[in-house]
Amino acid sequence: MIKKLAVLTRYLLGFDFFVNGVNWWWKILPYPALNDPPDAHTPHFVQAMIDTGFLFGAIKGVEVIAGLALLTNRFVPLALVIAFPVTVAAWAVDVGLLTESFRAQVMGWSLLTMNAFLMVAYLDSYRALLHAHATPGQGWETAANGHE
Amino acid sequence: MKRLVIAFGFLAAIAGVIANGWLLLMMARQFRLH
Repeated sequence: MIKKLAVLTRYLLGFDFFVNGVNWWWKILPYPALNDPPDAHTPHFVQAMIDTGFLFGAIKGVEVIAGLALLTNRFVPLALVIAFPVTVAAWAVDVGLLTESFRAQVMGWSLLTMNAFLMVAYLDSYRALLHAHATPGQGWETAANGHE
Repeated sequence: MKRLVIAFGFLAAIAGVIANGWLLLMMARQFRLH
């Protein structure tokens, strides 16, 4: 059951990320895009990221790459980890700064829920990350021994 | 524990369906604007 839910959620989150990311270069959503003039409705925090000239584009790039990885089922655990800071930032903007928008609440909470659930569903892939006392160099030692 | 994860999965999937439906609606409106 978890597997079926994870497959469905993977496609949903993948599409969500991909469409939101692509929108920066090809306007398909009523959200800020590269060639849009500044909009008074855009939160100051988001406008500040856009004004840097690179940060918002980089975030959208992460969304496109993560979206493609999720849709094509390639490097999914890695994509989920890379996308998680973007998810948290989008959730913070949607829930914390766009408080009057019901749509933003739905989008923010759904994004966070999907990303968090998928990370729980792929827990097996993260087991190596969950060592309280990790030792550096272990993998390299093993690899060297293997060639001797 | 497994039941909790399944419940979380259902919540995520339902939230995802609603969000993606809304996204498709917004995309359709955006294309109509062009």
